[in-house]
Amino acid sequence: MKHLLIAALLFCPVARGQVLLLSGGSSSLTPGSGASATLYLPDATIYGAIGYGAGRFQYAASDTFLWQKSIVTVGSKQIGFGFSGVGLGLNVDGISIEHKTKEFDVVLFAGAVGVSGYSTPFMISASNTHGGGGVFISRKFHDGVKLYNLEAVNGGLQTAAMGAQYDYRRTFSATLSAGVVNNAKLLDGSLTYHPWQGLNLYIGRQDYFSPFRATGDDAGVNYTWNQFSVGAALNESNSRAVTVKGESLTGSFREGILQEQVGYYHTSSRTLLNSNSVETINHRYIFSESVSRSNGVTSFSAGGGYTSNRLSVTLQHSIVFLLNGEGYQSVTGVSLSLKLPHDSAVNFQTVTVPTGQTLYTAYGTNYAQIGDAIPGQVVSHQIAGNFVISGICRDKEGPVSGCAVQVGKIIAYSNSQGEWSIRAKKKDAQAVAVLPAVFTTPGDWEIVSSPDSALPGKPLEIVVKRSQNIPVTTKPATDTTAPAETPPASRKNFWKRLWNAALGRG
Amino acid sequence: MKHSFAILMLILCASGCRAQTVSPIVAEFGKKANGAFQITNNTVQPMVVSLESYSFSLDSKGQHFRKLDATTHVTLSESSARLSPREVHEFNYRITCDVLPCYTTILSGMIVGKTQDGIQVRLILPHSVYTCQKKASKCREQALKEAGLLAKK
Repeated sequence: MKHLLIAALLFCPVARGQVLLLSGGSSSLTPGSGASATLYLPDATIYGAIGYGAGRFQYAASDTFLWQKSIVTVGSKQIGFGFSGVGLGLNVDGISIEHKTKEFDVVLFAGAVGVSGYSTPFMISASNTHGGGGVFISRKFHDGVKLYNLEAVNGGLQTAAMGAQYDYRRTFSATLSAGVVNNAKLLDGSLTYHPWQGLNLYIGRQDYFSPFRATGDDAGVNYTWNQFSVGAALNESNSRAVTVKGESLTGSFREGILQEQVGYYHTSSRTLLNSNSVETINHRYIFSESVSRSNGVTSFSAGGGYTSNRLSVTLQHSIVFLLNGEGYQSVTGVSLSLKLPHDSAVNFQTVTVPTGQTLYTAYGTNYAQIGDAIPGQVVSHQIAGNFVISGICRDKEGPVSGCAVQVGKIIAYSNSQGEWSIRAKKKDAQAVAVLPAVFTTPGDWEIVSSPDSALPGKPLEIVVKRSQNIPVTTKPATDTTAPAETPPASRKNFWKRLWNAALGRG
Repeated sequence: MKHSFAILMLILCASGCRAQTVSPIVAEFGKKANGAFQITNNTVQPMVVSLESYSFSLDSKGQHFRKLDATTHVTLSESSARLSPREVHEFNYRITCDVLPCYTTILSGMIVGKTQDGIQVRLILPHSVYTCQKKASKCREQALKEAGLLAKK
C-alpha cells in the first residue's frame, strides 16, 4: 500500500511536471546508501526516496504545497530546528503546516515522529514507529531580538527548549539556549563583540549529542590590520569523562599571491607548531604547503586546488580542536565536484568531524526537464468547459492589449481589442486578479478598477492606466555631470562622532 | 554573384531560424469545422500569444478582414497562452456557420521583440478556415475561383 502511494505521488502529475531531480549516493558520514527523486511542479513539490541508512531500511514520500498562505507537507518530512546552537532533527510521517509572517514563524507537526531519520545530500528519509507531535515558534522583534520555542513529544522522548538571540547592529551578538532535548539537558550560549573594525572577541559553549555526548567551550580574540592578522584562543572539551584544555596563538599575513600562517597550539599532553603557506595563483589554481612539529617529530604535507566551471577539486589541511580528547590535530579535507553533460554532476568530499573521525560522502545528481516544458513537444488543450468568463481591458484611450488577468488559476492575456476570455468547467464565481507586472504591452501599469470575482456570462470591465509619470518642468536642464555642491561637514562633536563610528554606531 | 547569393541565403536562414511559425495556415471543412493549428515558439524565451477571430471575404484585390459575422460562431480552446521556450502549442477550435459558405480567420498575435528604437514588434500570423456546404477539399479552391484569384485551367 505504501509503495502504491509512493508510485501514485511520484508519477501521476508527471504530465504537467517541469523539473525532475534524481540523486543517488553513499556516505560514511551518515552511514548508508540510497536514491531520491524530486519533482518540482508549478504549485507543488513531490519527493520520494528509498535506501538503507542508520542500520535500517529507509523510505520517504511527500507532497509539499501552498494552502491558504501556509506551506503544507503531507507525508515524510524532516524538520530540522537549529537555533542558538540547539540542533534537533525530527522526522515526521504525517502532516506539518508552516505559517510565516514578518514577525512569526510557526510550524505545527503531527504523525509518526522519530529521530531515526536519515539526511544526506542525496536522500532524506524518515522511518518512524512512535506517534507524536509538536510545535516550533519563532518570534522576531524589530530591535534585533529573536525568541524561539520548541515543544515536541515523540514516543518516550520529550523536548522543551527555549532560545534567544540578540544582535546589536554589527557590534554585538549574543545567543542563549536552554532546556531538554530528547530527555537530555542542554545549555548553550555564545557572545561575540566587535568593538571596532578588525577586532573580534568571542566566547561560547556548545553541546553535542551524536555520536557521543560531548561539550565544547571556546573563547578567543582576533585582530586584523591591513594584511596582518593575529589571534589567540582557549579551548576545552569534555567527552567520555575526559577533559582536555588547550591554548593557541596564531598569526598570518597576506602579500600578493602568498598567505602565510604560523600557529602555536598547546594542550597538557602535547605542543604543536604549524606553518601553513597558501599560494593563490589565480581564480583557478591554489597550492598549499604545511609543516608541523609535535613531540619532536616533523611532518610535511602539501595540498592544492583547481576550480573551473566543470571541475573543482581541493586538498586542504587545517588545525582543529577535536572534542574526542585528542585536542589540536591537523586534519585533511578532500572535495571533488565534476559537472557532466546533460545537467548531471558527481560530488565527493571527506569531512573530519569535531569528534575526530574522517568520513566521506559521494553522490551524483541529474536534472531533467519533463512534462509540458519539453522543447519541441506539442502542448495541446482541448475545448473544455462550457462556461465562458470574459472581459475587456481598457484605459482612458481605449482597449489595452497584453493585459494579464488571472481567473482562478488560469492567466489570460487580452488581444488587440482588449478582449480576454477563459473557459470554466463550473458555473461558480471565480476570483479575479489583474497582474500589471506581467503585462506584455510596454510600460508600467496600475489598476484603476477591477472586480474581485467573475461569473460566467457576465463580461467584466477592467480599467488600467500607465504609471510612467515623467515630471514636467519648465526649468532648464542642469548639467548632471557636474558634481553636486554639498555643504562642508560640521566639525561639531567631532570626537564624539568618531567614538560612535568606532563602536559601529555611526 | 556567388558571394551575394551566399549573403542573401545567410540573411534568410538567420531570420528564419528564430521566426515563429503557424501551421497549417489554411484549413478546409464541410458544414462543421472542428480543427486545430499549432504555434511554434522558436525562441529561447517565453512568448505570449493572443487570438482574435475575424470573418473575411475575397475579391480580385485579395483578402479583406471584417468583424466576425453574427452568423459565425467560433469556440476556441484558449483565447491566449504563454508558450515556453521552443514550445509547440496547439489551439483547438470549433466553427459553426448559420450561412454557408463562410470564411473565418484566426489571427495569432505575439510580441517578438523590439526595434533598436525600443518600439515593440508585434507579429500577427493568420490561420484561415474555409467552411463550405459541399466538399471540404474543394472549398478554398472554389472561393479563390469565385474571387478571380485562381487562374482558370
